[in-house]
Amino acid sequence: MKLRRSPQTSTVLAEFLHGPHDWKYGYDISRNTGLKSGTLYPILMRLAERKLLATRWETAEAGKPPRHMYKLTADGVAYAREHAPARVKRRMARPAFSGVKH
Amino acid sequence: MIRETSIRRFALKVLNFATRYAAPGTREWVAAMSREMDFIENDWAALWWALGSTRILFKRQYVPLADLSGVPRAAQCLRKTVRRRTMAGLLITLGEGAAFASFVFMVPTSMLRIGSGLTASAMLYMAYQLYARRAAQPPLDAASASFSYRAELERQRDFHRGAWFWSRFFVFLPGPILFCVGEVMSQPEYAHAYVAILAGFIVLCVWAVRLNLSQASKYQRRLDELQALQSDAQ
Repeated sequence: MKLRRSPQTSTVLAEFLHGPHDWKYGYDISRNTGLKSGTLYPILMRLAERKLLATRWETAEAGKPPRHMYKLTADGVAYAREHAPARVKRRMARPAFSGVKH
Repeated sequence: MIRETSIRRFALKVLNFATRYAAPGTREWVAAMSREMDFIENDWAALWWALGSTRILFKRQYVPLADLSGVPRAAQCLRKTVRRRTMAGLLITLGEGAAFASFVFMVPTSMLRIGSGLTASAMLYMAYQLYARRAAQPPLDAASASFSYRAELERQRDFHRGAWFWSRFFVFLPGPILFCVGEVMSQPEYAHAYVAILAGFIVLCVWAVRLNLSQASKYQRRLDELQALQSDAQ
């Protein structure tokens, strides 16, 4: 199945690339990308359907309901690296401390 | 601890509604949205967040098939959706048909009578199409589910494209146009209003064509998906 690559999907992929191995919460992704829930969740669902996104329910602390968490799969990371917007790729390619002046 | 205001209570009601009416494959996602509410401090942001869940109800009704074992469930979902849509469609078309049929005896000019009569006939034809060619609905066991699912998908696809759709479209078109023309002729002082209604009607027709063709493509994709799974299984 092909994934529709809208600018919003690219934005979400770019957000995941900021910490490709970290689990993220839906609301945090929404805040960081500026996408509304009605836009974000269908994208997350499409990514999960295509096995590009792993999901899990956070183990709940006592008295707190669990939260749904998301992380790119290995295929997802590869896909995101391939399709992330150019500005994100440039930022990823930049070596650490490259902006530090001596 | 977030205080429970009336806005937040309303937002939670929206999410509960969405959870209740979400398709089986999307319910977990609406529940996930619901859990995030505890971490949204602003009430209005919480409300917007909750309203987003209703979009999923319209957008994400379909559960993609991972393998053939999912066919009975997909068939069951489709059957329920079609039944609901058929009932709503019948209510609308028969209601409008009855309204336009009564106009035939009430309107003053023959043009308006012809417009009303044609619109009423078109509504009856639509109701017939909604009801006709319904597949038999045997219990959905593993053996019959694929057959039943395919038959219903084909019926839905054909409802939205080809002769089945275009006949409905062209039968429907003349009635409202004649009705508006008749109104313009009988009440020239309101001509601009009826021209605007006519323009709106034409825009709606264009939109209806697009919508129907895109629905037909959606059903065709599901048929292709089923075909691919059946080929893989053989």
